[in-house]
Amino acid sequence: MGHCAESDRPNHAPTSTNGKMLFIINATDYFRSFPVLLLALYLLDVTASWGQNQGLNDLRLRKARLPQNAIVVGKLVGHDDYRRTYLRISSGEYLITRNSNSHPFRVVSFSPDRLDISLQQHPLSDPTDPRWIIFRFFQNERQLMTSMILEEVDYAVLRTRSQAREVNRANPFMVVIPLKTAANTVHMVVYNLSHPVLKSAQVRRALSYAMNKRKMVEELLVRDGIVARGSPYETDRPYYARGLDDYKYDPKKAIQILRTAGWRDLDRDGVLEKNGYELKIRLAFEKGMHLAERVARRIKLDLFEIGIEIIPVPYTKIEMTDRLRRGDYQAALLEQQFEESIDSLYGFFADPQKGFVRFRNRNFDMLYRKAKKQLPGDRHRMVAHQLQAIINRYCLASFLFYRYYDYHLFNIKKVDNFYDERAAQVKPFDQWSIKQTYGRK
Amino acid sequence: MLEKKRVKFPHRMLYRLLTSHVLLVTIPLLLTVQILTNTAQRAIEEMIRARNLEIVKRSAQQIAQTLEKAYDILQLSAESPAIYQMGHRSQGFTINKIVYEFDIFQILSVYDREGRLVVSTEFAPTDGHNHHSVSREVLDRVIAGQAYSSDVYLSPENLPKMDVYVPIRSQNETVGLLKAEVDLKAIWALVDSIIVGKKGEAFIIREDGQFIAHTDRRKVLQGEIFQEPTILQDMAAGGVNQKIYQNRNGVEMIVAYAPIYVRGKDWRAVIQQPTREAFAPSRTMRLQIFVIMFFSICMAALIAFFYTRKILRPVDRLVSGINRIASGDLRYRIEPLGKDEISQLAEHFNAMAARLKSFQNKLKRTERLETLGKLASVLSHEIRNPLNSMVINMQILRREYQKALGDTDKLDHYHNIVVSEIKRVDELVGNFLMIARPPKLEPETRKIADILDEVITMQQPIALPRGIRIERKYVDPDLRARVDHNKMKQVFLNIVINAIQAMPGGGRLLISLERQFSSDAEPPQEMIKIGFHDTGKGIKKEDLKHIFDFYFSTKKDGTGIGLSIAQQIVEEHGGFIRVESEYKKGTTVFIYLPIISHS
Repeated sequence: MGHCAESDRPNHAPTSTNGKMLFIINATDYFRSFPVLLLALYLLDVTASWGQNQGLNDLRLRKARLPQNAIVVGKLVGHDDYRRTYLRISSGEYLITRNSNSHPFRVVSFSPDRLDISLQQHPLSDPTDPRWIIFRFFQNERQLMTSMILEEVDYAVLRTRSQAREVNRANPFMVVIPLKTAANTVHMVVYNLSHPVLKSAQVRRALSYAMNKRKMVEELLVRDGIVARGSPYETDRPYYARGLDDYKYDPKKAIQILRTAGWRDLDRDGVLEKNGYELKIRLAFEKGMHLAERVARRIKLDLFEIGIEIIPVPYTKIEMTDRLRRGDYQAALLEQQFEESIDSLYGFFADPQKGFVRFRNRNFDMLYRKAKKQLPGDRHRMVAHQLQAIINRYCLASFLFYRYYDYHLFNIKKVDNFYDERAAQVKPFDQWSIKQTYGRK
Repeated sequence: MLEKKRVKFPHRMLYRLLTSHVLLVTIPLLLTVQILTNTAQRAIEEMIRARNLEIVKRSAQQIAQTLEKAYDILQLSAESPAIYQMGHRSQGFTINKIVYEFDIFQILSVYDREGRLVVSTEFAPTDGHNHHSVSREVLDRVIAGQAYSSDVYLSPENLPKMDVYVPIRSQNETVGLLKAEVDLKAIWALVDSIIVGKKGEAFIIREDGQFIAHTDRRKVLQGEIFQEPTILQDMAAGGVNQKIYQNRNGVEMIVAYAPIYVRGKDWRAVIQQPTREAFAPSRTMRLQIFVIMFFSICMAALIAFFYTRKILRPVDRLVSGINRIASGDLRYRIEPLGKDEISQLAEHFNAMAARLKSFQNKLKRTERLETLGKLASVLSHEIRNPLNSMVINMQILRREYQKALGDTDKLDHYHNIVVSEIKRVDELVGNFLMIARPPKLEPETRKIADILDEVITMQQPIALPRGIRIERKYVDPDLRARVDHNKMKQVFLNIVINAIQAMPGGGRLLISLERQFSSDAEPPQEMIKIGFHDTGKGIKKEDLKHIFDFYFSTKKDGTGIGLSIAQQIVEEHGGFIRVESEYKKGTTVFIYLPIISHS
């Protein structure tokens, strides 16, 4: 995987010294023509690297090496879509596309497992300024962790404390900075409302009751999170609607609901059936994400108890997005952030343009439209409560838990000046600095 | 040259004493420290070796137990009805539960007798089943009822893994097999818990040296191999052992290893540490002991220096006093130096100097008297004979001019003057001769009080008319001494006369007699002390030191011989005279004479 990526790496990375770069700047007067200037730059770069590297072996090695002043950012295919990757630099946050060269950076490589971004250099840029941002996409968190331990990745975000601690313990240069996850980022199971089984609100409610959310928080997050209470909003947020059914773990109630709905295990295989349909549900989850896989397994075990067979299926972010958009899914385990606005709620659950749940309900639509038309923004909260009540009643999703922290890991042997303590956030990449001592013995 | 030696002497002593003190402290200390440190070092090193062996043994046991536990779980699962009844759903639930509960199992799969996959915990994107098959060899072995575990291999993430197969048996028949993908990362935590200093490392290796677990996980993740063939060879011999060797980087390491006994696996738990770090406590201890020893020696040297200086300071003063006395200053006396032997030495030396001074004075006087004696012989011959002749001839002259002239009163007057002057000259010469050639003493034991009484009786008639009262205070009237009676009487008479003459307006003369210990005597002893205390005009301070000089007198008609003769006579008797006087208040003369007991 990694080796394939090496071949995509540019072998004309600027390795010239700062002094030489300055010479080029001074020489621009003599090169009126832009192509000539480019050619000159390339030749100078190549000759400079010949001076630095001696022999064929070195040239071969140079290919395998990273470009100078590159920050390698680890991403996960299960969580990140390379086509929807954003680059945050001082001038703004940019979506990286194959042809985003009008931005203050150049996309040199654009592939599912790697994005190589060359940042535009200021004439007076410092030798410590990053010149390249390389996004590497890993198949699973374990691979990413291994790469972090081996310092092949300079920055990545992990989802659990145990993972971050493991990396840090194996390589103390990978420091961990826990940053609070964005508010109302909830782990939830979303159901396909057009699925013949899952279109039943009773089935969805039974599923919600049968999921042991508290155990997930205790065993999987090691209490590094909090159980969701029937809403995408956290209980201490103003948008949280009180009085909702929080679908506390109650397998008996779940069984009761299913029995009432007519679900029986007729063939005694342990799986409930009705009208020729078995309660077998494919649960899509993020591929290679350890937490998601564990949650899926927990759900599988929990639902087994009430006669529902869950078949967890891992998908990459791309696959997941495509399937959700197409409606080609039954249930999906997602981590989704909700803005505190009725747009966010409506967009996700009902708007076919923005979301994939496509919930059709006259009251839901009416409440939203009325609020948008007639109510000022500060009174939308009440409407949001009403919308949540509908979501809760129809159990459009099983809200599981919120994680407290994202664990940001930085290779401090290589990078510096990456964290804004006052704002408690990671600085834009172009503000980071590369330690010049890195790689030297 | 002599001076140089004198200056250097105390310093050489100082250095010698200092050196001896320091050596006395250092040599036993060094020997003790050497023995102690060697013993302690050996003990510490033995302890470290034993500790390392214990750690590695326990770690090996713990790791084996962990893996055994995994085997047991698998075995128990395979024997549970949920598995052997081969219901897919219950099997799926069971194996998922195991995977959920136990991190060590990455994937669990159930295969049927033909090696076809029945159910797996691996979540696959297609139909939920993977398509891993079981090799015929493994299948046959497991169907035969034997568990099997594969070699350790590295996953795509470079994690060490191992496949374990256990038979699923129902009614003594193998109905399938349970395969577990064992994630050996689970034993990493155990290795992590082994702390071997800062530079030490703990790891588990396969027989070929492949790292399965390592405190530096990068070594496992990069698929590194323990490349120390000699140690691997030793390990192959089996058993728990430890060794010191030099690794490929030239660092001396202490390594301890123990086999991990688990289902025929030939693994080793190893801990190793640079000896420099492992044995650091013994080095630290040695260093501390040497530092303490160094400071002890410094302290001892410092104390010895000050103590030696304290001892040598009186010696120094003694030596400088001796130097001064040796240079001729016999009047110099060494100050008291304390109460020790050196002080006694100083006292004795002072006494010796005093005697030397006394001998010197005596010698000078003897020399002078010798000269005077010679002069006196000449004078007595050359002056007294003509004077005798002159007196005889003057008598003849008187007879003749009386015969011739008849009334010769006027001539007699002049004649008497001449005769009187001649006698005066003769008397002077007589006194002089007495000093220069003192007559030999004729000592006899006499009571001093008797001699004093004689003198007082003689002088009472002279004193009383002048208003002078002579008093006696004999504390011990029976005191006796061996004295020349006449000479001693002359001494007392001279002094009494002087006292009477010093009190022209009357006064009181107290004569005392007692015994007293005198430290001025040679040797210091008990002596007869005779005091003459007058209330006369006293002697000026500047005159006091000359009163025993010949021909020194403060009186108009004094000869300046009386006291000199007195001193001479007293000293010839083995005594001495001391005079105390306060101008215009009075004078006291003390005469000390050697005592003779009453008997």
